Amino acid sequence: MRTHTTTAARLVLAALIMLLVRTPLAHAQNDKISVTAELGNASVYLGDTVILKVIVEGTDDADEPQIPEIPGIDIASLGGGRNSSTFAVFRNGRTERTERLTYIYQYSITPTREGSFQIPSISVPVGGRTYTTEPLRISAVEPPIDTDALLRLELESEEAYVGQPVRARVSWFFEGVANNASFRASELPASIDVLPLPAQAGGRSEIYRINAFGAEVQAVQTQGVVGSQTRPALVFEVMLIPRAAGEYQIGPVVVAFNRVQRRARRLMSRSEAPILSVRPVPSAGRPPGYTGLVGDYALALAASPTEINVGDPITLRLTVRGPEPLSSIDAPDLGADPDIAERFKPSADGWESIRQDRVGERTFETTIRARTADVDEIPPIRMPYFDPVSGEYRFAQTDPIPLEVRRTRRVTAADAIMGPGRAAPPSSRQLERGGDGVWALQTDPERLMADDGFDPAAWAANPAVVTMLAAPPAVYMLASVVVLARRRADPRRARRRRAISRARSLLARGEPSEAVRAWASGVRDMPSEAVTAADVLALGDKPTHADAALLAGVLLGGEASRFGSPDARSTAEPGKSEIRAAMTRLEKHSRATGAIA
Amino acid sequence: MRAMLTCAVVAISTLFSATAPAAQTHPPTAATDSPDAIVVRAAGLIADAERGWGDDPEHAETALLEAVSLLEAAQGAGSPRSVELERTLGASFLLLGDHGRAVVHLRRAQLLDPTNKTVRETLDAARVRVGGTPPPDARERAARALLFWRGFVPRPALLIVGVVAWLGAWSLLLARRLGAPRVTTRLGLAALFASLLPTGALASERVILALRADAVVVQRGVLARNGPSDDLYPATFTEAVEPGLEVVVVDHRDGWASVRLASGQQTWLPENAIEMVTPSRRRSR
Repeated sequence: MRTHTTTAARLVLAALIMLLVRTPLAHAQNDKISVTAELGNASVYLGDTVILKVIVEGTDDADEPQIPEIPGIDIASLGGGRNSSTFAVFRNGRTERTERLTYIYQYSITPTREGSFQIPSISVPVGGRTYTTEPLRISAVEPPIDTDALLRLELESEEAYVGQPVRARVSWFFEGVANNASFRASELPASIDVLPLPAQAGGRSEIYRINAFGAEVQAVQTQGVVGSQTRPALVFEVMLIPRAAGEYQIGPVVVAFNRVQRRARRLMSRSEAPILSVRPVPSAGRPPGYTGLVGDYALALAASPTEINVGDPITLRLTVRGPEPLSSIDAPDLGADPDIAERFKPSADGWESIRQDRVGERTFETTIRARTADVDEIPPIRMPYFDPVSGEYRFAQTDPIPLEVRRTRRVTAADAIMGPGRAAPPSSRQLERGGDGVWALQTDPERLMADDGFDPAAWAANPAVVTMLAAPPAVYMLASVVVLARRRADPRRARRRRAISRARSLLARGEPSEAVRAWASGVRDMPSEAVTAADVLALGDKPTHADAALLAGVLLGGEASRFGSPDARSTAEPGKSEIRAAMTRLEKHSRATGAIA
Repeated sequence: MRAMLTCAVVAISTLFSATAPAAQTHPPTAATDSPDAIVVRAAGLIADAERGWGDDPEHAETALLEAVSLLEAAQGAGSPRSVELERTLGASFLLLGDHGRAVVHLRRAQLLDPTNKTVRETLDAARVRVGGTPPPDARERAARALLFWRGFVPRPALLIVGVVAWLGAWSLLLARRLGAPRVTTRLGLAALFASLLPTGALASERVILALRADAVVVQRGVLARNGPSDDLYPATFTEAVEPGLEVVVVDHRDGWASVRLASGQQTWLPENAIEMVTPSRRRSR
């Protein structure tokens, strides 16, 4: 007892000492913390990226600092991570280990215009205190223009209507080997939507993903013709959709790249900056149902089936073809078209968009039902749009589809009840009242309230019933496991059981001699081929033991019969039950006398 | 006989667990709104109606109407599922001329006790007044063939046979495992097979009934339509369908039920014109 008390007191004392020592140590650790900022390069070409590192030394865990916004520089966090290391110094015959804890946050710094920029002090909170870095300076300069390269920005049209998609194509023709290209385009106003178009790659063309106009676009490397020369070119396209009228400067687009000759040189190319003039669509002549589509559109309609009964559904598949983007396009509202609504009932679910398979095409599906048998066609479905070429509103419309609508067959209710060709008997309200027959009404409340809702499933779900039903197989499995385990523990006994079991079946089949041989092999644990009459006799404590003699005689008789001895037929063979009883008695006797284990 | 079998099943469950539900008794209570009290009042009204049926049929009919309302209220208030209650409701509606609800309640009584002869005869009588027993289609014939035993073998009997065979089978197999003669294996396997027959029959009954959504037309003057709308679709038949027409609900849409008739024909009926035989069943898309 006293020993325990002393031990506990020592533990408390040690804990107190640790607590007292730990606090100054913690302060000492904080005192060693330092925060610095490093730039990968103090001078960078416009459009290129340099890494800014914020290094926190003295800890391996620090909160992420907030980098202030700097006009003219795009800053993106690349995350943080531990960068701790351990040094071993061999001093005075002893190895001293020093651990250096460091945590580093990294940011990509991309200047978007020329000039010199100051990255102000960055505050880093560590362990409740805030540390600051020294300010840094970075200057962005444009690389020299590559006079051999050519960057083109071409608009499909420099005049457009509001909502009219205008394709912009950027082609960069270069000489020799160029790599590490970064594209930069002047920011577009918010009233112009940019939609990257998928690259139209040929068989051997390579596809690159680059960032331009604030979106990720697919560029394809191909061959282009400049003047009379064929040059390698990188081409990408975007769709510009103006949402408001005005004059917009598109571009210029700049690409900075490394041109590799003897050594890599950072060079750049700059495109022209075309002006896109956007006009509003005219309000005069604007048709009802116009949804703002500008371009050239076409509709195609398929209907199935076209031979139907009144009320049967007809599946319509409408394909809209027009300039991309078609992702936001809606199919015409059939309920708003009086020609269709008068003759058909459109599905309440409306049009359902089907997976888009081709560029410039979108497919919708719905069902309609003919209201009467007088309907003989699906009238044209119309969709208004503004044609920028003619400057007029037009309609895309489908061709009418002829229908054959049949009247529904009318049958009587008797058909439904009795089947065709049989009439239902008239129902009668007048019922005769009969004593205790089928019309007898129950007046005993006890019987009216008897619970007859016997449900076998509910009964079987009762935990007690489940236990009752599951217990027997479980006990059987358990017994099997125990029996098998015991057999494995005593292979000799298992062999004996198998041999005795085999002996019984041989005896039942009328082979007494083989039965005795199998039994003796099991009892004596020896191969059955090696069993002799002497082995059987040895199971008795004396040669004259009756059962041993009987079984030995059976064995001898069998052998004699097998080898064709004339005595075998004259010997009277004991019966099966007699042999079985003799085997049982002799086995017990042998066990009692210790002849077998 | 059936009561004895039910008691035996309950006895087995209570024998093995104290948590098993005990046989329920329903002594009349003084509470006016309890199901028991409502049933007692309804029983009195039924007796009243019976007495006055010959002399004052109008009064008898009024009493029977009130009794029927009370019995349905008792069912809504949680009265036990009673064959006699459903049969009495069915017979009462038949007497009152409401063939639709008569068939609904008699079908429910038959679901509770398919072997009850009185229920079967009353249902036959109701069907005659509706227009006869509908000829079954192939699907209906197959279901009836699988459930042929329902009319004469009580479910508790099947269950007891199954349980006894199950316990016996495992006891025999266990005895064999512990050293009994080899013949016990054959007996045990035979008993195991015998235990699966009744349980398989009960399981197939449950599955078949669960897959069906039987309903009965209960409103008069209802026109079946070719689709789920009175405005759009023409009537399927030239006259309204009779109350008591038995259907199988295939689909529900916008307050309408697509139903299959016994002849195999499909049509649409307003949902409020039909009543499900199993009240909680409603198929949704």
